[in-house]
Amino acid sequence: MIRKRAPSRQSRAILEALLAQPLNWQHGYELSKRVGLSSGTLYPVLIRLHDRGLLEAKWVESDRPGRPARHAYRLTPDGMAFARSLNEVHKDRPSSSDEVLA
Amino acid sequence: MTISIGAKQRLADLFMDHAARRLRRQRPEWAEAMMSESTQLDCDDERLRWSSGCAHASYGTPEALHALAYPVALMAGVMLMSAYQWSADESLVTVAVICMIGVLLGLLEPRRSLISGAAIGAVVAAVNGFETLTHLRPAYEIRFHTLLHDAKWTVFIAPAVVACVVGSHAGRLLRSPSGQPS
Repeated sequence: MIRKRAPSRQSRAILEALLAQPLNWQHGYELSKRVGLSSGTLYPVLIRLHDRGLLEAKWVESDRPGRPARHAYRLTPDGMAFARSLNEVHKDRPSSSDEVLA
Repeated sequence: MTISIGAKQRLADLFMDHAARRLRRQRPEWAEAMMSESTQLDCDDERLRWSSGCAHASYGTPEALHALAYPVALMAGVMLMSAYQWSADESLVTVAVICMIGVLLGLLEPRRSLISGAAIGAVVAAVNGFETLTHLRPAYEIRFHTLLHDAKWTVFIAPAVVACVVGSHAGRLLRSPSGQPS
């Protein structure tokens, strides 16, 4: 039996941030600044979301010459649906992810 | 205390290398992602923070957590077995406890049944040997033991290994969708 765990507040904060700009590819560093999470928390969450098919990643050229390409992320259609369903669930109660985003 | 710029850069590189080394085998793309992101940062403090976070992240992947689960469970099993053996001396119950822990460890990590069995099974002899050496005997009668006499309790390694093998087969059966061991 596969048990579905409720996402952590860090995961919800990342999903919310990605859902706010669903078509834009976002870089790890900017995403970590937006949600107020360190890279140590950000990457394990991104890896899990990617494993579950909720997040897509691609390499994009750096806008700074001479720097290597950067990994960029955005939600898949499943990820958007999942993030919206989480928003619905947490709409009526104060979201703990607000604390992270604050 | 202040750290010089060169030291910060070296420390950041060390953290990044550590993260990349840990992730490269299982998650090469993510290792590259972290490294490339770190090279975009100009501020040494920020780069140091980012790199140390990446080193931390390399322990938070599903693979890293799974790899950590077995040593933690083995240590817990050995401690539980030691606590039981230290406080009681009932051979039949000892075998039952050994088998229970062995089956659980076999279920968790089927490929390491021999190591698990040897570790759990050796606890009885180890605890008895410790009592002989220290003369600390909290729960039962004092009688003369020698280390040679205590060594015979390594016989418990056999049921422990058997229990681990049974657990590993049960685990494979449970994990296999067709019910056939893989």
